[in-house]
Amino acid sequence: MTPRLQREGGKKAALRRALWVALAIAAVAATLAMRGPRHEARDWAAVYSRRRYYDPVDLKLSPHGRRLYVACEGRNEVLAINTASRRVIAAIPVGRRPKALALSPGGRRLFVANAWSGAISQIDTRALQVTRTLPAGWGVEGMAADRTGHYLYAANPLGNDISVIDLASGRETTRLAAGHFPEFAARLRGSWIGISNLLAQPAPPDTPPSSQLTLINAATRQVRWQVAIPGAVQMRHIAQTPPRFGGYLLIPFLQPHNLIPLIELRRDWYASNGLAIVQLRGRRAPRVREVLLDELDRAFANGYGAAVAPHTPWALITASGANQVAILNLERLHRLLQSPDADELARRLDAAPQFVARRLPTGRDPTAVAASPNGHFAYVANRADDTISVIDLAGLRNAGLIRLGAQRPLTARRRGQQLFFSALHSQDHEIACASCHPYEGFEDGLVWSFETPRLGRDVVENKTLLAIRGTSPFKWNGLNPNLATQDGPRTAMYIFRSQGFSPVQVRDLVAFINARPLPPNPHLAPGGLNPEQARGRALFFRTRTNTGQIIPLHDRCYYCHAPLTHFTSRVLMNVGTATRFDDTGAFKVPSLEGIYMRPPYLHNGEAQTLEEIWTRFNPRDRHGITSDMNKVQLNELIAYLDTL
Amino acid sequence: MDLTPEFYAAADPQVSPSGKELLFAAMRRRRGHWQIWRMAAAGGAARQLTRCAADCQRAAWLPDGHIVYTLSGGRAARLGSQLYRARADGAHPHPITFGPGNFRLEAVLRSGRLLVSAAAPLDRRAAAAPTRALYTLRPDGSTLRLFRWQYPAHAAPTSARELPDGTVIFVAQPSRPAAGPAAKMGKLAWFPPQAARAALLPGAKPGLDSVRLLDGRRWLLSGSAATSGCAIYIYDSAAKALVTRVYQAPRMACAQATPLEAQPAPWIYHSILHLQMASGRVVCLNAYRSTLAPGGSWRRGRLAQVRVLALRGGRRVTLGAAPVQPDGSFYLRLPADLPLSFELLDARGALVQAQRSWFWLRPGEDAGCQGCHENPALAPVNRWPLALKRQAGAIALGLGRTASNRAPMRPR
Repeated sequence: MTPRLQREGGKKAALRRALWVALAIAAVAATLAMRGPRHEARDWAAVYSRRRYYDPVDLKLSPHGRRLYVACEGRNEVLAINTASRRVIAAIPVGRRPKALALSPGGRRLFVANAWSGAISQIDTRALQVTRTLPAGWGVEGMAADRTGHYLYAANPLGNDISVIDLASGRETTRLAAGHFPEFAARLRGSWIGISNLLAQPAPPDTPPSSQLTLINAATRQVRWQVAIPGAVQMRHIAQTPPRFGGYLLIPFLQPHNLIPLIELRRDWYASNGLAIVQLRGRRAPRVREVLLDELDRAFANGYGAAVAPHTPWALITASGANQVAILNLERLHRLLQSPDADELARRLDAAPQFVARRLPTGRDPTAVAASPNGHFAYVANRADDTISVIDLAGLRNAGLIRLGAQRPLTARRRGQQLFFSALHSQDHEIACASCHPYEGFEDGLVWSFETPRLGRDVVENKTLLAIRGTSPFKWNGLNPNLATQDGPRTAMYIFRSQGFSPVQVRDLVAFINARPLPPNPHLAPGGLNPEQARGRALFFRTRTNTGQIIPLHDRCYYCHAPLTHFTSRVLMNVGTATRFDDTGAFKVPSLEGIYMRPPYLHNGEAQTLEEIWTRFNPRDRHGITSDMNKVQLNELIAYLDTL
Repeated sequence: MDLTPEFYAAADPQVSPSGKELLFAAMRRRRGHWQIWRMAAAGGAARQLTRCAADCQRAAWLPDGHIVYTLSGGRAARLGSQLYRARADGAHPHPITFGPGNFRLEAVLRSGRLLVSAAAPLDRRAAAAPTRALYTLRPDGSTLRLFRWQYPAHAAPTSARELPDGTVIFVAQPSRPAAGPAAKMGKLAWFPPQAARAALLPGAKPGLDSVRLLDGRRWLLSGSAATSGCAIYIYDSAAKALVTRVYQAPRMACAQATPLEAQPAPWIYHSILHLQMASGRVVCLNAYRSTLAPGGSWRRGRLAQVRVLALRGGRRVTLGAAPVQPDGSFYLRLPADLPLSFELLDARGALVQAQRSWFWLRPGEDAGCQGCHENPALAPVNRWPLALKRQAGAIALGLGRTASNRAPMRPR
């Protein structure tokens, strides 16, 4: 008997020890969590420096056309290329993640938007050196200098605004509102500056999305028009046609069909790709029309770059998912837009052959395109290939390839990147992963109706792929245990409607997705939380209500949004947000990291703001005890959540 | 070299993706039935894969280890010829088409879908009508769709093949028999990608009825005419001309010539059907959209109901009717593997529009249509259909309350 008693005693002791260890771990965890958000300590520079590919993402040609500047977001460099020799003549280090370029009117100064630095590098194009750094907003990207060269306009996608920078003083003078996620900018004829938005304007989730084009009068430095582009998201580069071809603005976009059950893919059942065509009409509101670049059984997935070739009838549009550049005949397009049926062009899949003169293959993930001032050549940046395609505009043919550096062995992550942006794995080349996850893995801010057991039910908001490592299971219903399951057969059967990815490709794709980081959080100051954010943190971790009542453990914020696991407990919880269109009430607790940049909220995208989660959609305090909080406290809580 | 000396006739040779095996149709005796056979490409004994009570022809390899072929004649094909799918050894044959229209397999596209020719429209009366068109179909028999666009009524496509760039070429036979030599005049036609309508190429040849690809530029054409017998030509698609005749046999009728080499394997299509179910679902986004209506759309409020007809035992039966929502949408659950057709009715029950074709749903299939005889060149309108928003689920017509009709839980 003695040994048995000893064993039992040993078990009890072991249990006690385990309990103490668990309590100690919990105490340490709580202490760590109280010190601030997890990613304060992240070394983003180290994360970023591991990228070693060039990832050319924007192009600008010098006014004389002899030099091509290439923003390489993968290397934090701008390359200068001699267009005659097609050789790189300089590599200029700039800030983190250079995403966009702009030239001053005379071409003496080149501006580089460093999205992750929140600053703009100014380069002297003669010395090919950075001469100064200009301030900018959050995640700065698209830029355009006005005609005088006195002011620079820079779109800040994470701030939803536009910085107006006085180039004489180097200071930001004004912030202009710009709708949701402004990302691309262009200087237009006259005194106009155009800014296009990547994501749709906030709206009820059961309504079709609408995006915004912001037109600024550079003479007054004020927004003159906020042009709604109905049905469109993911608007990107802006090109303007000559007056003899209508003077239209051409902006590639995606028309999502997110409100229709995704039961097939062909004939644009899921989404259409095309162009917004905006006509400036002086004092009258701009006129918007749309044409599709998709055709009956071949999509032009994920339009991206746009350029008009001077002295020619050609405009060039790249499709990052189709690995193509379409060369448009502007004369024919102009004529088509005069036809009485022009309003129907927004849905016509047989219109493109009437104005697309040629479709040329490019490298992988073509992004920006630029045409030489004499109209002889055009250049396309192939982001996932580290190459520049050269197009002969006289013969409308490919005329060469500029390799930006020595060929490097492709890592699994790089191969995954190539797969992520390619639509060639889906039926009729309709969609790529990037079609729903723009901004390199972000979300499109839309709700989608999938092929569910009850069609039209369980419509859910798209989820981001940024920083999702360690947050499995995935999807709102938590049915996907890991990314490999999601990206393998499920994507093949229910999304791509094709063979999908091979197991090796799935492995590469998962490697890429797992490496998607969040951009640096602009709400988080280097010194840590400010007083308001600190008070918000205390609210997040509070255990008593304002009246002193103890909040049950499962009603505390940190119980479900556990700090040590990316602010998600990774389980399904019913917080009373289900509607009559849901067949389930429990949803996977979403991570709160990067929550500031991804409205709308809740599983069905009903809450347009964080505040609405508690003020409109938590009437019975099932989504945490929040009804006792006053407006100030809610603002403080939001201020803290914005830092995660 | 005669690969099939023991057969009375052989046709439709299909080289396996590896290039090492042949699939072909053959009949041993003059009055026997055509069956599907398999043999090594180098020759040798042929293995019979089908034992059809009628004629089985036009077979093709599927990348998932199955074959698909055309069965014509007999009781199994009382609605006209149908496509069957079986394992590569011929076991477990089962139909994958279920409607009138005389389906005939043409090719397996690189996307994994089947390219078939059939009557246009898909109607019982079309069995005798010569007008035919190309359709696509998933290899599990779901999602039958007209290929790319409408066709000129005079062209009956046959021997269609897909080029590497997505262009589909085919021999366009005259739909209506003409007198004299023109009766057998075949023309090469094509559906290039990113183009809506067929463009005829020069190069018409009497008796031309087969085209195969030799390489990216040259095609192998073959056919037979009363005067010259069997002839095989090489066609240069860049020069748009026959460059050489490689074979001629005046006393033989030849069907198809095919190069003996490895073929690119099409994509595997992962079926998402639930074969244990007895029904499928169909959602129509907007029944008002119709090319048959003035201006492309019926007047708002005119449509009240959709009536569903079925062909059972060769007879038209009415399965029932369901409401059309104010936005023109309807959402139904209907019997699987049965020829179906819609009729749109107004509030008084009068017929507004009848579907001209018959279609079917496979078990567990979710099918969608934008309208009723809508313009296929229009992309859908992004709108949450009221039938999905208001109805608790699909309205079941022609089904009993069996467990197999319930929607399965499927991953998303």
